[in-house]
Parts: sequence; C-alpha cells; structure tokens
Amino acid sequence: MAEEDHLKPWKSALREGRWDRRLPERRPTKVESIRRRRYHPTGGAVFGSIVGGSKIEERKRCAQEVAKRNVSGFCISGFGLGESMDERPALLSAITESLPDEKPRQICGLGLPEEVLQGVAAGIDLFDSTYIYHLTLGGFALTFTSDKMGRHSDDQLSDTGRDGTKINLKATIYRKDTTAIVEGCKCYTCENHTKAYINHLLNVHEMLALILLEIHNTHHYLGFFRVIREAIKRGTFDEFRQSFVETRRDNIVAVASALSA
Amino acid sequence: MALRFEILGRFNRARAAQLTLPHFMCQTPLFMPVGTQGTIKGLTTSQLEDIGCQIILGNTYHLALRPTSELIDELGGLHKFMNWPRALLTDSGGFQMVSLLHLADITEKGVTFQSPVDGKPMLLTPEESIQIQNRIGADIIMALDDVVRTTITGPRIEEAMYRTLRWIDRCIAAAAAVSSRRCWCTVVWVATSICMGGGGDLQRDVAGFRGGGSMGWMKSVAEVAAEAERRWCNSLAIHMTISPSMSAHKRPHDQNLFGIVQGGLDPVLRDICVKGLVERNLPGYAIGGLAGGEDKDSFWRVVAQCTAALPEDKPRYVMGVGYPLDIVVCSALGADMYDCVYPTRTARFGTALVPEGVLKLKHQAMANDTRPVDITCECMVCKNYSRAYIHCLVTKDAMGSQLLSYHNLFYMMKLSRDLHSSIVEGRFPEICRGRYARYGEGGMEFFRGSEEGDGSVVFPKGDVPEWVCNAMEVAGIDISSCGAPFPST
Repeated sequence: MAEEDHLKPWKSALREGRWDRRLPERRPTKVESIRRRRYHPTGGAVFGSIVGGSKIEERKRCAQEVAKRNVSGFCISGFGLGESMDERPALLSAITESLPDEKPRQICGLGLPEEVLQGVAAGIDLFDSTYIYHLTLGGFALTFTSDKMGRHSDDQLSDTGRDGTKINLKATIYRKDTTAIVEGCKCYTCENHTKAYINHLLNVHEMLALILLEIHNTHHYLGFFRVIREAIKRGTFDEFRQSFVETRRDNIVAVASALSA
Repeated sequence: MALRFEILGRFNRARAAQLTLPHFMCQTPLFMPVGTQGTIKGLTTSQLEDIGCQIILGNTYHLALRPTSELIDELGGLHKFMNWPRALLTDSGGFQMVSLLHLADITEKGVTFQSPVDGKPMLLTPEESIQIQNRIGADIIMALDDVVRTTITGPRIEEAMYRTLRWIDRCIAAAAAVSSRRCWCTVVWVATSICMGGGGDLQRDVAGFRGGGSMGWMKSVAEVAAEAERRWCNSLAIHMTISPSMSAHKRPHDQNLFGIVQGGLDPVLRDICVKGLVERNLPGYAIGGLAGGEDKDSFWRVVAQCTAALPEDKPRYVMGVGYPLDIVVCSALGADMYDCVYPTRTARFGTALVPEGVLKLKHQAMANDTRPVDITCECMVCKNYSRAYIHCLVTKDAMGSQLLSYHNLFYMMKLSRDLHSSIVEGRFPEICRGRYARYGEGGMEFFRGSEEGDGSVVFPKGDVPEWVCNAMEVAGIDISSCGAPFPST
C-alpha cells in the first residue's frame, strides 16, 4: 500500500482548512513520488490510497486523481473510525464511481456484517478489519445465520449478551451446554468441541479458548463472504442484503424490547 | 485392574512394553504431556494425536476447583469434556502440597488448601481425591501421597513416608467402594432386565458396547457396569429421591490406582515404602518426591533402587521427569512412564528441544536463520516454519508458544518411540551411545563422542556428566566411548 497522508479526525473543523494543502493538486502525492522514482521494493503490486475525510468532493477528487496513476488497485482509508453508518454510503459511492472497474478496491476498518454489505453494495472487493480478533478476545462467538433469508430462531433472544448475532461464551449459562457453538457448522471447533468446554477454558484463561474461538469466528465470517459472492453471482445480492439487515434489526429491537419489558 | 502390561523386549534393566489401558494401547517407555486444566496449553486434541501423544495428564486439584469434578462427571467425564479419545492420567493433588505449600495445611486427615479462586478452604482427603478422580474418569488415577521436597531433611520425610502408606489404604478403600457399588448395580440390573423382558435391552447394550480386541472387551465389561450403576441409581433416584451424587456417574470404564513411593533420598525409607506398596498389589507404581531440585547423583540412585525393588510385571512411573537426558537414564534403569511440564513450559519461553540439547529462539542469532528448528525433525513445525519466523513470534504472540510446544512434544514423543523400538530391536545401547548406522538419520545423539563429532552434539567435548556415567554403569550400558566422566557441579 502506498504511504498515505495522516488521517484527520472526521469532525475537526480546524484541520479541514489544512487538509486542502495536502491534496494531490498542490504537491505530489507519495504515489506520484513512487512512480517517479521507479520504487518497487519487492516488485509487488502497489495500491493507491484514497483519502479525503468526510467531504464528498474531496473524496471524489482524490479518487479521480489516484485513478490516473499507474497503480494495481485502490485502498480506501479513513473509514471505520467512528463515523456513522448513514454517512458512509454516499462517500463510498462517490469514491467507487470515480474508480476504474477493472482494478480491485480494498477498504480497511469495516467489520460488522452490515458494514461489509454496505461496502459490497458500493463496489468494494477486499475488506480487512480486526473485528474477528476483538470478538475472540472478548470471548464472543459469531452465531448469525447468513443463509438466503437470514432468519434467526426465536430462542436466540435473551438477556445474556446474546443478540442473535453472537454469544459470549464466558456466560455461566454455557457451563453445561454440550452443544456446538453453531449447529451444523463445519469448522474444527464446532465439530470437535462444546460450548461447555470453551466456557471452562475461558474461565481458567487457557490459550486454547482463544484458538478455538478464532477458528470458529474466522470460519463463520469467511462463510458470510462466500454467501455474499454466491448472492452476487445469482443476482440476488440486494434482496439478500435487505433481508439480512432487516432480520438483524428485528432481532436487536426484539432484544431491546425484551430487556425493557 | 483395568490394564495389561506386556513386556516386549529388554536390555538389562531397560524394558519396552505394551500398556493396554481402557482408552488406548500404549507403548512404553513413554512421556506424558501435562494438561493441568483439561488442555495442553495452546494445542488442540487433534494436534496431540498427530504428534503421537498416548496418555496426557490432568490435575485433580485444578479440575476440582474449575470446572469442578461434578460438572465433568455430569458431562460424561474428562475424555468427553475435552474430546480426547486416548488415555488420561490424573494426579491426586499431592504435588500441589509442594508447589502450593503456602496455601496448604497438611494433617493426618488430608490437605487443606486455600482456594486461589475464592479464598475458601478446600479439604483434600485421600477419599475425596479418589472420588474426584473417579468423577473425572481417567484411565490411571494416582493415590494421594504426602509429598515433601527432597531438598529438606529431618523427621518430616519419615512422617510423610509412613503417612503415604496409611493414605494408600484409604485410597484403595475409596476405589473399592466404587467398584462394589458397580458390581451390585450390575447384578440388580441384569436381574431386573431378565425378569422384565428376557434381557433383550441388556443384550443389545452389551453388544453395542463390545469393541474390537482385548481393549474392547475390557471396555465393554466396565461400560456395562457403569451403565448399570447409572440406570439403577437413576431409577432409584426417580422413585426414592436418592441423593444426586449417586446418579451422577456416567463413566464408561474402570480406573487403575497407582501407588506412589515416597521416602525422600533415604534408601531405608524408600525400601520400607516400596515393600509396603508392593504388598497392596496395585496395578502400577510411581516413584514420587523427585525432580524437585535434588542433586542428580541422589536422584538416579533413588530411581535405581526403586526400579530394582518394584515388581517386574507392572508399570513404573517416575513423576516429574523431565529432561530428555533424564528420561534416557531412567529408562536404562528400568522405568516406563514419565511426565513433566518442561517441554511445553520451555516452549512458552522460546526454547526448542533439539538433538544437540536446546535451541533458544529468542536469541538474536535466530533472527535471520532460515533453517527449520531441527533439520532432522519431521514435525509440522519443522516442515513449514523457519527459525527466523518463530524468533519474531516468541514471547510476543501465542503462535510462537504453540509452534514450539508442538515441536517440543513431537520431539518427546519421538524420543519415547525411539526408546521403545530400540529396546525391542536390541539397539538400546547404540541409541544411548549415539551410533545409529542401522537406524538412519534423525536418531538421538545424546552421548556422541568427540571423535565422531560434527560440532552439533550434546556433549561435544566428551564431557558426559559423572552421574550419567555412574547410572549407565549400574544399568549395564557401556558409554565409555562417549568420553571421560565430567564431575557434576
């Protein structure tokens, strides 16, 4: 990835003025410098960075400028830093509309399944984030279903930190639960171990707890991406996205109502 | 007794045997990794099978604290809980008397521990230890012994030895109570089944239990007995509201109680203890109280004395050993089983076990070394990762610990297999001496002499420690070609 300028906070009015000075027109970007120096350290692909904060015009301009350069792909940065999900679609579209179709677009920092769907809808191809890592560290295991209709069973609703999307295996209700994290999941953890065992491992701070959770969470999350690819190929992505988001929203609303009841 | 011990080969005092346990058919000499809390740190049970582990250890004290033996029992025993299909051995909690002495108060009744979890007192008596181990369900269970450090002197050692003998009787009684309850339940179940329907269900159940070979037979009898206890106790519980503990047993097999020889470094006390335990006719015997910092010269003499006095036809387990060198020496003296946290613990500190000794991956010299940890090793780690990569990870990322633990345990399992096969094939002295022309590359090179040296051996200058030379002399293995004895410091 080409080195990018320092990212500014989203709502810092003070810095917005200074930001203009860093845009491609005013001085050569690092990408430009790299091209000039013919600097390819390993001969690998170089991705150009798209910056521009929360300003649609700047994002568009940056995207257009970087698109002119001889890069292998694009890395869209500055997202996943606390901006609201409502702000994002317009910015993402502004960027991807200005990028060539035939080169891959990567984005950092979008982890939640809904955010990934947002990114995919806008035309992003590659996602990286620490979502799985932080889930695992907290003792969480992903349980959301990503089949066509994204349905969740009613018995997933409760007040134990479950919200139909993930469970926290540190909770005492799992002490004697001899079922797999997700029934039918083909990952190593679900085929070999029970919630009760992982609950025990988490309680005694054993390394194996995080190993098993990471295996499951990675498998589950990558499975979600596979379903997305299949939906796109079948031409049913929009429908999939809508039903997925609605079901999760319904779940969260139901949990919230249950808690306040 | 739910084990069979069949000696397949000997060299002087060393023996190679087949140890058949309810869950696995093992080959000795063997090393047992320690999975204190129901897991070997950082490794999955599939990896442990790939590595070739035969028996792993669990610890009564820790498992009784969390998640409790009652929970393990309710969920079907430790094998099922951690999904380990091979053999398990549980220590009685005795070692914690030493390692957690600051939390322990030892009396004739038992050991009172202060729980590190919630500070509450926890009394571990011989009976309680057996019952906990009964619920955990390991193939081999250890008697609760009064353990003292070998580095202390005085009357405490004698007191501990005699108390160990008194406690073994209480352990035996506690284990027998379980067996007799099962016999009674089996009889009642058989009788009830026959009266109520010609025993059809019973026949089906026994047929279902039957597995292949001798192990299957052993398993089926034990499983029928356990199932009988469960059903009978369960139905009694329904009708007569019996206490829950009676209906909690779901263990599918019987257990083997090993006695532990104590007595410090005093040959007289050790002799009394050995004789006392042998009188009790136990399935196997352990030599305890060692590997606690005593000098090596005393260590090997105690092992030699005990192995000479313990019965030939039963397994001998030296607890807390350890270093590969110690395992080779003890095997030469006639021991069969070993356990230690060393390979996995040292892995977590970045140290790998290699034929030449140890390799410290944290060392700066490893940073650019693209060779595998051990060029002769066939494990997954040595086939896929370089020293440089592991150097980056050690002490910074859990992956470093995992990779080195994997390699170190593979090394120990290979050591076990090499010892077994070399004794069976009559090559044991060669393995010790390091000449392995017939064995091929990858053999162990413990005592290779400098004249053959290529700079990568344990004692390249031929300075084999004196205690090793003395021990091997008693064992009848000639290692004089490896160099002159070097006094141990």
